[in-house]
Amino acid sequence: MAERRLSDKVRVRVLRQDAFDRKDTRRWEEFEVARGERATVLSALRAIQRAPRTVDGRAVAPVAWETPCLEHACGVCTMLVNGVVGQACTSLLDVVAPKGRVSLAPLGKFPLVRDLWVDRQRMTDDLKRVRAFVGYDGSTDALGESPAAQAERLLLASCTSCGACLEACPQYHHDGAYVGAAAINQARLVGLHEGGALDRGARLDALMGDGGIASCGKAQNCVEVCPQGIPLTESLGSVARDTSKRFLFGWLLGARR
Amino acid sequence: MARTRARRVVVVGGGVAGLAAALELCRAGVPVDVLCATSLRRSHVEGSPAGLNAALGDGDSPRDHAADALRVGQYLASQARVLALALAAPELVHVVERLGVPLQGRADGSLLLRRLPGSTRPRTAFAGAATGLELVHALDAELARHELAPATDARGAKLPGEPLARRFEHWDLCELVLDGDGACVGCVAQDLRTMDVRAFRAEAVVLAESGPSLARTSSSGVPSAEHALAVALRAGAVAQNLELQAFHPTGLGGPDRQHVLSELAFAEGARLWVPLDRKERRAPEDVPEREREHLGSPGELGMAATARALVRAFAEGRGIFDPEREVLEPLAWLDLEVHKRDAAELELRLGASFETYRALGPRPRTRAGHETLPYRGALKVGVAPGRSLGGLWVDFAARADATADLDSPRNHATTLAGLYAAGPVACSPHGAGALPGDELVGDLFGGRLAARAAAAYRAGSERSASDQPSSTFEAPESAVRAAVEKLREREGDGEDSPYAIADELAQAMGASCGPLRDDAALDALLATQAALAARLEATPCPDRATRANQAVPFMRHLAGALDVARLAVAGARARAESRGVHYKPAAPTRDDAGWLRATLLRLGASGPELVGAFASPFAERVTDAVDTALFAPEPGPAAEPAVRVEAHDEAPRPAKKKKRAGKPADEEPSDG
Ligand SMILES: Cc1cc2nc3c(=O)[nH]c(=O)nc-3n(C[C@H](O)[C@H](O)[C@H](O)COP(=O)(O)OP(=O)(O)OC[C@H]3O[C@@H](n4cnc5c(N)ncnc54)[C@H](O)[C@@H]3O)c2cc1C
Ligand code: SF4
Ligand code: FES
Repeated sequence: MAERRLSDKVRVRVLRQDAFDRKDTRRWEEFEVARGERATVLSALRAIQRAPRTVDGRAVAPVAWETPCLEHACGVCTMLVNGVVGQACTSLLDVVAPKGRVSLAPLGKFPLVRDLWVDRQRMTDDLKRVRAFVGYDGSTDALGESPAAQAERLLLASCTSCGACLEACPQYHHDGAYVGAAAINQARLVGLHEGGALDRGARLDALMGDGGIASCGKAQNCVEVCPQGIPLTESLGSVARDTSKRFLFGWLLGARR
Repeated sequence: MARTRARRVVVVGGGVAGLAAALELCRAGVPVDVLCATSLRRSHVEGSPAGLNAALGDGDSPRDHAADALRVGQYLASQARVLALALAAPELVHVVERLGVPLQGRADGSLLLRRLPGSTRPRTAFAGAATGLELVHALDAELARHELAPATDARGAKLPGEPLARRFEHWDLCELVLDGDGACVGCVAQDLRTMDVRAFRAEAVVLAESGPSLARTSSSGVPSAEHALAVALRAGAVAQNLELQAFHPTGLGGPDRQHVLSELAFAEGARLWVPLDRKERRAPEDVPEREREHLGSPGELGMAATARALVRAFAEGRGIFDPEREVLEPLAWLDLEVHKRDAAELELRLGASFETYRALGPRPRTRAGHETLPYRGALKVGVAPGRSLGGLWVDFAARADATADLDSPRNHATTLAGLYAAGPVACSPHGAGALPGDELVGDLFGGRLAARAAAAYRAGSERSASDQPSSTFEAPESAVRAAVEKLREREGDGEDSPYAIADELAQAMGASCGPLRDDAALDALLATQAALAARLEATPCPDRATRANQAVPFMRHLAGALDVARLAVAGARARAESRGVHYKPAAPTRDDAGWLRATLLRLGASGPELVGAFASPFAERVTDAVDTALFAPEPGPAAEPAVRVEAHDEAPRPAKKKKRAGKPADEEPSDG
């Protein structure tokens, strides 16, 4: 394939807002950056930070965003790149701005902190809500897990809490009850561990409660966007089966009494 | 001020070291506040792929593990401390499994072990491609459990409304609070979103906010970890071996940081070479064997020695010729000799470690390119900075027979009473080079040890932070608040920006305080740093926002980074030998007679000061001596021929590069 000649400059449109309670300051600002070799959206944001001047020559405040790891490990630089969830540090300008234009906006399902920086506190709270922890008992003995069980958990364990699955989910809203695919997947993961299995009942109860598994609308968007390739729909299905078993079982127990 | 009636310990930092410390405190029933400049799941440790070393394999022993670690660290580490880690490691690995990390195992229930460079046996347990990430997530989940549990007072009564653990995400440490006697009774921190400033009362403070990144300061937006170190240094703490840093012979470059390929490639037998012809235009696979100069493999030499071999080769003017730009670059070929292997098999074993390279590497330009194997021929690699090996001096309680007293309040105590440090913010227990796979387990062990010591200090101390008048906390709190406002409103002249200063610092550090060192260049660097510090004082704040202002903490961190960098350069200037990866052509060999000792440094009123001996809370006189009682140091490599440091442009210049490690293969290890 012949390589198309790419523009030397890239125009970056950024959706900005000064603080969560300053909707009045919501605006698009446009910047121009050089298309460096292998430059990413992150490189563009850093260039803007060094010289925050819009294309019409106005000096503005640097754009706020979070980028702790700079390399696809932490998930926190996830934002909307041309309206699609993507990670700033691995979105190459050559790919997302071949024609020299790219737009950046914050994830919409989370409370805004400023500009492209959003607050994912809710994700941590929801992990607590569904009791996604194994409950370490102080033992120092080998676990002796089978390779198959280990492989199953490894696949589910790579979630970075980036929030892409929640952004894509039609059922998830930051002021709604639904915890979303990420927390449900983590709950499933923990339940597969010997230690986590002990707390299974309480965890399933939490997952059966308000905002739990029943809120999943089976749109399957989550699995499409997960940058870690986690089989989220499988996790949702598995938890749904477990909770309905518990529901039936609990009901039978209740009926007998 | 943050309200509490529980006598809390504050842990600063939510990486492996900090979370390990917090969990250990919770286990002992000590209420804890965890402060963390990012959210908890975003620590650096997430990128660390290698795994966890422990003598779990057949025929292995903690003594062998310690011997390997000391050899790789070139005997600069405390031997009692290294042995204590090796003894604790097997149990720690099982704790990690029990916490939920899916470490890979065999059908018989035993763990799979990898053999990483420097180890004489397979010794590294691992969770697929991202042990660090899995580990920090498991620790974080466990902390969440303790956030749901109530704190109790000394008599065991529940304190309503006070959870055992509290987390303060996006809170940045600004200052330590000291009482009249100079003991640490808390700290002041700032919420990076609301910009609120608050003091935290603490019976003890455990610093675990990662270590100095020296040449990595330009990674903007990243909370600069040397800040905690600078805060402690300004309060009078002593630092050790700040001039020592790991460098990887596997730097891949990258648009925003220097990515590093994992050590795992060497477990697959990769070799490093440069073409003999300095104008070689052929592709690497077309250069015949006899026209290559091999630079060794870490499998045989260890990572530091291999990185040093690269540094020397580049200094002597060898490298890879770039025919497009007609320049010789300080790079070598990392050759997996793919043509001799089954590509699919190799992909299975190593594919994951190439993820970043595939996404961001130099060759694939088009979308289609991303799907091809990036290592068809060979990868271009350079020398890239890794983790710092120096940090705050910390104590260690060794008994007369050189075994460790793990319950002593002395362990990981800094020179300030009540202040503890773990993880890379503390001087590493690894000496002049870490054995790959020792870092994570070392951070876990260090965090636990520091927490146990802090708990013992809290239990044994006659004073309590809760007896302190509130004025002890209000004064530093208002001082920080005032400093923040002053910084935010600072108008300066000209167009200077803190980001430009940070870039220049990183560039200068990379050029002159990398693995290749020269005293004249280091002196010049000290002058450059003083000039940059003066510029920073006069730089306008690029952002006036009163909330979520990222420029204010950035400038604060940069000032701290400058302080730490000055100490590192002073240490590099002092150390008149070549040890680990560090290479001074003027003193080209390891000098055990003169330099098998620590460099101790303090931040004096007029800059860095070398310290010969000092007093700590638990010892009247601490010196720079290194213990060698348990293992006799093996001699260093025979004298290396001196190389000429040529002043050509392509001298090793890890300037803009930053460290990174790739993600290793899912599957592995031969037992051999
Ligand atoms: C991509 C990558 C690859 C790596 N590869 C390797 C490797 O192969 N081998 C190796 O040994 N090491 C590697 N490292 C380094 C290793 O991960 C770190 O040395 C290790 O994680 C340090 O652990 P820690 O717990 O001290 O700090 P971290 O995991 O870095 O956590 C530090 C914590 O402190 C917090 N913090 C920082 N500053 C402040 C402040 N001012 N106030 C409050 N909180 C603060 C942060 O938010 C964070 O939670 C790698 C690092 C990265 C990023
Ligand atoms: S499940 Fe995937 S998409 Fe959802 S938060 Fe985790 S990594 Fe992101
Ligand atoms: S900055 Fe961590 S994933 Fe992009």
